[in-house]
Amino acid sequence: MPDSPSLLLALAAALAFGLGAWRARRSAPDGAWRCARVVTRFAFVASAGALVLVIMAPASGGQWPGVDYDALGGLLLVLVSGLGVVVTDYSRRYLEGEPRQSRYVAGLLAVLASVAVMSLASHWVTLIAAWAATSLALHGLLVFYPERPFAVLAAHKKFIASRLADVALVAAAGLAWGEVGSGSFQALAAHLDAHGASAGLQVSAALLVVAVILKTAQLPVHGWLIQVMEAPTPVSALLHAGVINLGGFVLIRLAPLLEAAPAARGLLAVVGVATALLAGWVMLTRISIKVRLAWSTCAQMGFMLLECAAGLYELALLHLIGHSLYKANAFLAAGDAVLQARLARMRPAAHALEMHRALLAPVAALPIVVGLQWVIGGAYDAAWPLAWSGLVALAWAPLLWPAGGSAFRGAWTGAMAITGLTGLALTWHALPILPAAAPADFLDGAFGALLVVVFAAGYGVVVALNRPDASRRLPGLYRMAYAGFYLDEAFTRLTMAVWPPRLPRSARPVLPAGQAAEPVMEGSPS
Amino acid sequence: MSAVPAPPPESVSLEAAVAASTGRIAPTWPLDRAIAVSPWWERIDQPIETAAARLAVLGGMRSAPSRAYFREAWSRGRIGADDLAVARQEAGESLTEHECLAGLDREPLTARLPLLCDWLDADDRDAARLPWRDAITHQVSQACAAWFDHDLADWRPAGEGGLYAHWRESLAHDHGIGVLTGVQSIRRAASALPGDARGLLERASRRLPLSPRQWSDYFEALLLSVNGWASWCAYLRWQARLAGGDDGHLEELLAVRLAWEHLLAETRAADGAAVDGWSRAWSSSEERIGAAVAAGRTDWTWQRALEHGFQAELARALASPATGGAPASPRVQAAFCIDVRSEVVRRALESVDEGIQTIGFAGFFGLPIAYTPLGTEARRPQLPGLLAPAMEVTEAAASPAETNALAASRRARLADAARWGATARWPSAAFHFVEAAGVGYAAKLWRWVTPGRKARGGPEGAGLDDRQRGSLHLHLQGLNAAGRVELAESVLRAMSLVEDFAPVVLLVGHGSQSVNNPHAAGLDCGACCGQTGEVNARTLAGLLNDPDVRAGLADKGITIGAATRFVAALHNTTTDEIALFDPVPDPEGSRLQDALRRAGDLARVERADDLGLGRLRGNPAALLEALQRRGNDGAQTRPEWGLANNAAFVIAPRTRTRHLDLKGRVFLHDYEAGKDTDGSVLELLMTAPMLVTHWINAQYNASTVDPEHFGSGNKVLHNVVGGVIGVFEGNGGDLRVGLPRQSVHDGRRWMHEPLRLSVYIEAPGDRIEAVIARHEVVRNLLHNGWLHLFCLEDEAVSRYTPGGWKPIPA
Repeated sequence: MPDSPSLLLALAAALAFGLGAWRARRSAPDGAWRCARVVTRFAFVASAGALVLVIMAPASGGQWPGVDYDALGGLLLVLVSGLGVVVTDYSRRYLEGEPRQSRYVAGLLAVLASVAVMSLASHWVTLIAAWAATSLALHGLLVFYPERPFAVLAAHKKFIASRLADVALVAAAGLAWGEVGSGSFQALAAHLDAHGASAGLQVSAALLVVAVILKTAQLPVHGWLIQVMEAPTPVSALLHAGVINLGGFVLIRLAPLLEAAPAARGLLAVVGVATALLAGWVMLTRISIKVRLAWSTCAQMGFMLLECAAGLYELALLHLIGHSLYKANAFLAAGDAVLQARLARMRPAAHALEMHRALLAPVAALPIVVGLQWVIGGAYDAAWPLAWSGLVALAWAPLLWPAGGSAFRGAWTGAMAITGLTGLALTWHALPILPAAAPADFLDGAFGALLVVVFAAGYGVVVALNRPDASRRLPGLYRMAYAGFYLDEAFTRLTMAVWPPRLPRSARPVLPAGQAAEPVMEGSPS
Repeated sequence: MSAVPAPPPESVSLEAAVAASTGRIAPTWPLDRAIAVSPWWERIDQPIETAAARLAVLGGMRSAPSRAYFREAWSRGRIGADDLAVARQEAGESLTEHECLAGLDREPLTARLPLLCDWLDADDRDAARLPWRDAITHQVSQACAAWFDHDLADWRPAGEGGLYAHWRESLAHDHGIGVLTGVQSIRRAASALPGDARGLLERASRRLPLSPRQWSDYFEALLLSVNGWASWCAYLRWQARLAGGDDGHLEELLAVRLAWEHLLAETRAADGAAVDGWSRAWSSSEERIGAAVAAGRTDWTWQRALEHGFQAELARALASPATGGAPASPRVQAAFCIDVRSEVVRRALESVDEGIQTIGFAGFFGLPIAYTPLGTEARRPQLPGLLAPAMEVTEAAASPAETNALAASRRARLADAARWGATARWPSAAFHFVEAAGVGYAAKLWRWVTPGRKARGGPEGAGLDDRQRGSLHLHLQGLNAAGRVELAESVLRAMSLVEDFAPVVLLVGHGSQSVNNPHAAGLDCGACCGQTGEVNARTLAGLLNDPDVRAGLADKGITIGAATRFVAALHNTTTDEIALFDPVPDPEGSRLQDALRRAGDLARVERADDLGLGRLRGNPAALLEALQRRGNDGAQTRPEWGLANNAAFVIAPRTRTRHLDLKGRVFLHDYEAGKDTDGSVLELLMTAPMLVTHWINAQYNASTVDPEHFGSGNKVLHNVVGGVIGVFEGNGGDLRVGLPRQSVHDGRRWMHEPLRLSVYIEAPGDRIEAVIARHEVVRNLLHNGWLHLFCLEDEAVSRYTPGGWKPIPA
């Protein structure tokens, strides 16, 4: 038995999820839901307790073969078990009257169990097994309606991407294990510390990055994430809040390996930035709420991976947690889209954006962002590199745009909002529980400048959309963005050619002349 | 005048075919005004059997329940032998009982006529591509959504050309469709298509080897393959026509869909055999429709038998003499909407307090208004979808200065909300926003676990605090003194309420309470265009309390005593609470509140079982709390049952129904033929409320008998499109119209029994016939089997047939 109370509690949470899944599968729906209710609440309390213990006494973390407990994993565990409580309770009421509820509950708890184990993984074997188990458990939820061809197709595409990622991970693990002589992450870190990264470890890091790109639905292998709206809403909430972001967690966990491999970091940064930018544009063109949210996740994950590549692990973790809570709520509240549209129609029409305001806004936001760091940090270093403050200023700039009503009041409330948001971010940033950032060399110099230029281009597009006669601007880029930059079609076609899924027939029988067809009258009162 | 050269005959028939096919599509209202519509509305000029057969052959749709449903109803005695006998007899004994019974064991073999895409799908199934039909539906649907969305996307297509031009442009630039479908030449072929819809229709109808005789059926089949978007286009047309204009989107959509068939023929030109084979299938379209009519005879006989069982029981009840009439001089009169949900609460209210008289009236209270909340441009209609608003209602405070100040304050707050919205709206802002504020969403997530008991909200209060809202009153614009009196008079006469006013007259609108529900408006008042009845009730109360109006009414013979007060109220149909907008002074105030509370308890207990809350029947307080939480529960897909199981409409004095438990299945409108000397009220009732109830009834029937085509599918998969346009079920596919499955099914059984509406009118038969003779729409509904009509005279009930009234044996 491990002698650390935190690890014991965390293992108890993981075990509870696992046993709950096993039990739910064999229960009638009522029993399955009761079981899930008890299990998720227990796991949440246990994982919160574990985190409190480790914060009060950092030494109370501990190890056991293949697993260990620290604040990073502890935060993830609290996050997913908290999501578990919400998603389970929501699902119980939401799915009333649906078939196969026990199977659903079992799938939900199995996903949570796998993620819980992953949060504790300190060894390649634990990590790979738990991550693969997460994906397989989720697969069952994604095809909750096996009669829906698009559900089957999307889940199949995800299945392929995940298995490719598994292969890349196994290869990465094999290389690292060979070099280090052990599969434990601690040994890996010690080895890197002592010997630096050999070519083999460089390749291992690159394969790890490839696996993360596949599992985090980055361009161009993002299609499945967008198309899995064929499962009940809370499944989307769980996927977008508790599963898709695990790639970021793994990178933070394996930060020493990533930091020692500039090429892998570069690949991660390029894919992350490209996804953040392009998927963000696509999001702006979407016409259905859930698909908009999915593209938003895709872009957000790109941004999180960029933060990992830049060594800003504390921000990446903040992003992982904040996005998770935000997006879980956004999916669960997707039915509010009509109310939101009604509210938006009540708002005063915004004045078209004048060019000088568009240019001035980021310039005005920058001193707030930098100044607050100076005020809060005092004589200490800035919270993050200057280039990063540039990105923040570009991001907050739209808060200073006119939004109807008086311009003066608008500028004032906008500035207050920027101050408040930046202050909040800096407050979280100062929490000692977060992992430390890597040395900031990566964002200094050319890369940081390039990043500002790229995000300024993104800002430019958003400005164009708010200029007078916006819909006539950038029609070519609009078409590309609306089509998702034509990236997913090739993956789909390749899937269908190489490993076609068995799709259920969707259409009703059509009777070509002279041929008989079996009548099928599904879906009617019976 | 110079002679215009006659157009070639083909273009004449093309024109006619386009008009005929687009003319068959019924509208669907947007989600924020989701009123019920009959999906068969544009087909009522055909016998229901013919319309059903055409829909089956052209769209694969069903309009009557399955045979399995009838078999079940027969085996458990819901349909009796006498019901079947009557149904067979009315159908002219064309089917023997044996044939009817034998028919129950097999579903009819009516299959859809294939579109060219279906033919290719059946012909060769390249495993590496999606079926053409699915791929085309998806592509067309996405193009339509981009074109019509004005609420969700921040980045929209340039609104030039039209729907067809937009679609053509996007396909001509689509680098992905060729990869996806494996036909690389699609993009090139799309570039070569004519630039406008009419050009495409002409070219494609020449290219595809169908005879002009089949065009209109084929076009109709094409539109039915994207029925959701077609219905949306029909809504735009409906609105344009209400405003006196017209709209060509349906023709554009037809061109889009036809262009796809044309593209298939073009890019598969080598495979001329397929095109020929397909066109031969269409050569027998008329025979197929004829065969479907014949096959449907069994279904419609059983449908009639199902209805007869219900009607026989109701007719007996309505014919039996009413005992213990209404209170001679009631303390309170309460006018409710005709909605079937009112029947339950009215019965409860009358039973707890004999001094309360209830009245049934259309829930928009006869006010043809549009309402614009103060300080906004969010104008919305508050009247049945059949009508165009004729008056405006706005909000005002005590003085113009105060009104302006409130409007400015609201605009500023709403602008702040818009500004804050930028944080989640623009990608870069959202990246940093979740890092700063994402943690705060933990509190929001907790809300899903423990729904509160908040009172009904809604967008109306946005940007105003409670005190500000309280200082506003509704203001009916654009009517002079005489106009106000005239409006008040017409409303009271239509209510048959012209004398014996009680000291308190409640005007009870209704609204449902649910959150996170895209279809919430469908549970609100249909007569108020999917809004609550609040604005109408409050506006009417203000009008009828106006001393000048009362003086004018007195001149017209309607005397309202000085002691009489009209009070607006709202019936929350989720919780069955009734809230008054203005206080009623004691002692009546507390008596009334007590009666409303007790009536609410009774109504809630009556509804508890169907909501799965039967265990709380013995505990009124807990039941109320459970329903209040249900109304705040964002995970609840069945906040209430809406108008499920509606089946009849009674237009008669309340004495006719006061003693009956109608189980929330019946619309009730008060009508006293004796006070309607010129028959104008009867004419109004038969041409407005009767049509509205028919629409509601038809929508529930359609969503029950063919949920796949006429229903919007599973709520747990719903994905709102374009803010208010409608929903996809899942990722994409066609726009889904009609009721969600959860609105008519509880997971175990159908909560709506699909019966065509039976209308019972207490009025002289010849008066009713006179209305029928004057109105083609009413005639169509009755003569073509879309509606049943009965006449109540003393203790006799007779059924309308085109040949005259047929007495119903007691």
